[in-house]
Amino acid sequence: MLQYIIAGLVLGGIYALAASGLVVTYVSSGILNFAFGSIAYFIARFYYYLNTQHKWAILPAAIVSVGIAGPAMGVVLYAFLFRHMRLSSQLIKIVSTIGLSVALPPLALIFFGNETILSSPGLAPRPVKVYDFLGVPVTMDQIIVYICVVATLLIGFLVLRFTDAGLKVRSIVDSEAMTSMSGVNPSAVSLCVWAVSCFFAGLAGVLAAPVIGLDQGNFTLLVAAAFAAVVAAKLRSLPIAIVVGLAMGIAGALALRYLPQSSSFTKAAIPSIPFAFILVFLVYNIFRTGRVAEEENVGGALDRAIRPQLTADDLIGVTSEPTKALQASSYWGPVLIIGIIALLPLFLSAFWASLVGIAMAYALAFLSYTLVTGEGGMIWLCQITFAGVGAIGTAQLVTEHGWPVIPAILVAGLITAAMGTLLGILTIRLGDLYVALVTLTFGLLMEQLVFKLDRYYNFGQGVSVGRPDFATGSNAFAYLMIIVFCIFGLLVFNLRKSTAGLALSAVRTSLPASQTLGISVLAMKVLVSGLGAFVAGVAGGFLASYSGAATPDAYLTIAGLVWLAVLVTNGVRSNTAAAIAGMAFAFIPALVQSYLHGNWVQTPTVLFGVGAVLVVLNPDGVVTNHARQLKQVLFGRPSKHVLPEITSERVAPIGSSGATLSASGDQPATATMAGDS
Amino acid sequence: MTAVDANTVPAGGPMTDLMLSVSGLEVKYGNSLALRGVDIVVPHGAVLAVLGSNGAGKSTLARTCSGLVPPTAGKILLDGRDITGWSPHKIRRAGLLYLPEGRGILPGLSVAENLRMAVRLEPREVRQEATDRAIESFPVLGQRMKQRAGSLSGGEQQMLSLARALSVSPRLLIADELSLGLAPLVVDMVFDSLAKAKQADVTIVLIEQFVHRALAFADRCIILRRGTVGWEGPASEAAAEAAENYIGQQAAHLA
Amino acid sequence: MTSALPATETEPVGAPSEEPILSATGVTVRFGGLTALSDVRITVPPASIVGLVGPNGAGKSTLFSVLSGLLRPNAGSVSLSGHDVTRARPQARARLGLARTFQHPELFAGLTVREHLVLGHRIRHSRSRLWTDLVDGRAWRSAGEQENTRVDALMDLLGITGLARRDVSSLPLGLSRLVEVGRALATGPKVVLLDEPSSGLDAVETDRLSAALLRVQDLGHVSFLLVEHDVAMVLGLSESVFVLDFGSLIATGTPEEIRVDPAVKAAYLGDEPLPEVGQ
Repeated sequence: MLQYIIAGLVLGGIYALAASGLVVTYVSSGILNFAFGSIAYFIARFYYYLNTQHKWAILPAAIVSVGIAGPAMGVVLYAFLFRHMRLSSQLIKIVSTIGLSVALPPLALIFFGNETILSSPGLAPRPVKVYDFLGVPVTMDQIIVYICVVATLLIGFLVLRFTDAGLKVRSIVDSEAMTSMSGVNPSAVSLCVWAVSCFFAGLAGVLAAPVIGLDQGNFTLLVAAAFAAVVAAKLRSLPIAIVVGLAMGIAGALALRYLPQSSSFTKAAIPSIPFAFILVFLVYNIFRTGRVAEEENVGGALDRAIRPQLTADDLIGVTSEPTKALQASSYWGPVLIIGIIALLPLFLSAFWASLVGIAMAYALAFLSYTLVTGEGGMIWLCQITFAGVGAIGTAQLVTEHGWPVIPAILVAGLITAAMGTLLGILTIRLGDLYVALVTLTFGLLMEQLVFKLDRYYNFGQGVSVGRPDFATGSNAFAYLMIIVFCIFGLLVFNLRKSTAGLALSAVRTSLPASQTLGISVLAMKVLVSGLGAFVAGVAGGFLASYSGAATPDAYLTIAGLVWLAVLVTNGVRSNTAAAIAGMAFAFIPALVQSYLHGNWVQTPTVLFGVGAVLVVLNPDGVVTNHARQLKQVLFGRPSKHVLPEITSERVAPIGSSGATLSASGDQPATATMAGDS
Repeated sequence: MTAVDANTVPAGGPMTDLMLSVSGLEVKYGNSLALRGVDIVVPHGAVLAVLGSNGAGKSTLARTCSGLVPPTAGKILLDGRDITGWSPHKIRRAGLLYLPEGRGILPGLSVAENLRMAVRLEPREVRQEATDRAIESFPVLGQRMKQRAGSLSGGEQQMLSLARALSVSPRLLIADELSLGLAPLVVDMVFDSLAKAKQADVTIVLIEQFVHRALAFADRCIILRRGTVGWEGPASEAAAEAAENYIGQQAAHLA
Repeated sequence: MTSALPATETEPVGAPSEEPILSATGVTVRFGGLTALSDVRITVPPASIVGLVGPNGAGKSTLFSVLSGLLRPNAGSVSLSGHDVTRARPQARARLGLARTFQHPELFAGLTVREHLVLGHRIRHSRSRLWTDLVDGRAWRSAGEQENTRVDALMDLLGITGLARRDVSSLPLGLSRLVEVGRALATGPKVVLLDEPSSGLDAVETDRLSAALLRVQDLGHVSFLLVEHDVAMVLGLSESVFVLDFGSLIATGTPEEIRVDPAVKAAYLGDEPLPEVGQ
């Protein structure tokens, strides 16, 4: 038992470190760093490169990787990226850090090599000594983890409480405006905070590598656990984050100890721990306060008051031009693109032509993001999970029950639609950030619990599913997909123009105003979640049909982050962008693989990640922006329909700035406080 | 009474007689114009009262001068130095102290820590002295040093905010609606503290919604209306004008 | 003549003033130890303009929240069209005929001006279209006669017809406010709460807004309640005015009465309240 606790505390200590690193940057700059795990992975990989591949001694390797490279990354990231995101909306912050999390691991592979790493040494000198503690063997690695975690947290605490630097940090967490009015440069303080946070990330990574393996997937699970601790801390409280992190480590250890070794329930229980923790804390908080939302980096009243005076972005494209002159022409764009795509199979060789089929299947999957994120304004990181469920469902119906392909796909889509609707209802009282975290954890949970089940996983091969009888050839399938995409594209188009589309835009851009108009927010969220999940499920079914089997490994949550990155780069509110994103996602990696060698095959993922990072500059996405410029060139600048007294104004977006007065919850706040009945 | 504009300041080195000189200030708030064409001059050691109804732009003026909000046009000179567009911490270091409306404190920190932040720009040797000065002026703070500032009463929080001004000697103090929501006795204490600052030769810009006390204390007065300067003149002549201003009937009206 | 505005269903044209459309009595609100409102009452008759003023910190915003449904009072009640809505949420009050605007415009970025009004109209008058549009292709056909007439008439009344196709994100503040008012009116409300409508506007825009409100008032059966800092504007527009200070109602009456009321003047100038001599 003690042995398990000791092991559990090792992992728990790493969770606590990671959670601290996440909380500290969130409270000081309002950004939840989705790339934390990737930074940890990058630094850990760097350490392995120095220590194992280049035979550096442990201490110099650790100093350079954890002590120098980590903080340096933090400094660079803050100076060039995060500093400019101070005023961005939560959606942009989330997408941008996700882009970073997508771009970093392949960069690590490019820089440090692509070999499979079976075991990765930690900070203990090899061969690892084993000590005896109360009858339990404890390795030097484990001892070092304890020392590092305790030392780091202790030093952190002392610095925060008792030093001038710590005072400055606590001050900007409290109110950035008041801090700067005391003569302190908040940017300089934030810079240091990010450096420290990335130091924590690197340290956590290097300590974790021997325990969980130097593998991107495992690191994602690690960070998911850290996120659970952060959610429990309501994104703000360091002590709670640390305690919950430790608790999760111990919970995992106890599960290993007390549950039967080889039961499938055990296999399921352990990855579920973070999700269970998140669930319990969120339910408890919703019960208590009615809504759990991150405060938009509130600071004090003064910070809130000056915020409307500093303009901010909106991810969901705020176009600043008169619309009608361009709207007629906006039919040509999609038609043109689809036309080009339709002609491709006729001109390309078999291999390339067949890619059009999967490109359009991806495009359909991306269309689900267009629905949920573009129209619904929600960041759901489990769309790929729905695709996986759709794929698996289709395969089961076709192979186990003999259904024809197309009906199977549609029914699988209905199953995912139900799941999506349920998830939409359950997350309605959560703010953007929490929704992203919950859906991420949900995706990981499904991946571990459901996708790994033998009857679906089938040793990695998945369950087979063929193509529809009328579309077995690659060209035929390609045209089938193009038609399917067009049908769904038209459905989305119809949605946008309909009353529901107007209401969705309303709910997305201003929750308070929608409520006062009498729009049912619940109904709109349910609509868009259900539809989005349906489209994702159908896309998954077609993807499986194309590849011949529903292989669960193709639907990992972490790959879903790449999907999001690809779509956002192109444009999250445009069907055409979804089509182009699908083509890009299918063709660019294939092109790179055919013509570049070695580790450069990783570049497409890096580019997609960087594209998502750049939404900070370009919220509408590449495609929408270029489309707009192209239209201006072709159709001339639209005349401004203005009243005479209006002069040209600096564009400032509307909505989503906190109303001074209205609580944006669904329930009226009660004025009674403790003591009143 | 017409607005004083920069051109009428006597030539011959007198820009340095002005602690604060604002010319042509324009500030946008979201997509509306909060301030337009505002000109202000405040000589060394003088007290300027800024009056006007809520929403007239008084706080915007204060926030722009202190650097929290960037102006879209115009210039701000602090003792002859052009501070337009400077960041707030730099402006603070140049000697401009802004006491914002709604209590300028750090609520999550203790009283002692608030005072530490307040005196941090002083040379190390005099910091303790400065803190002592603050506690001397407001003994109740000395009894609550370890208490979280956010849990102090409204009056005590205002004292803490004022302590920032009294512990150090800023060159220019902008006080934004200090008496809002305070009991009359506390308001007395606020104005006593301001008098102390005035004695220490601090230049003061006093923003107030409540007219008479401000005018009793100030030398000159400007009245803001919808983002522009509606009236400007000596405080002694302002009372009648201000009294009518709240319902919009101004004796003299500037376009 | 048929009203160009969406007329409220139950109001007979030209009815004499009777039950107030919106009223609150005995409203008390406490936040911890602080009393924000104490035994406040306010009445909005049908088809009239009422002003709510008071110096900073008087409790106007708090009362506004109680009326609009974002805050439940510790004591007192709010009544809308004869129904007790003290505990009702904003959506429920919307169904009973309450609309509001926001101090910082809460417009729907990405929608045109016209679409704002259309959405407001449909939510009240053809709610089922939220769902039927998805399947019956109505989204592509032009809108019905009634909707077009009403929306166009409303835009005309507010003077924003020329902006119909314009995306709202680039509108100056004054026009944004008009669009918000239009959106609120499109739902066919009985009373519209306006939250500091003239804040941030210059004199020209304020006049334009006042004129628009009066035009709407003349033709429709809508009441307006303005919470404002600009006392002059309110005195010029309203039929009755309520004045708050330190959480209590200190004066109420016609604009003429308020204009000369010494208690109101004292409140704004920060003088000590006068002894209770007859006013």
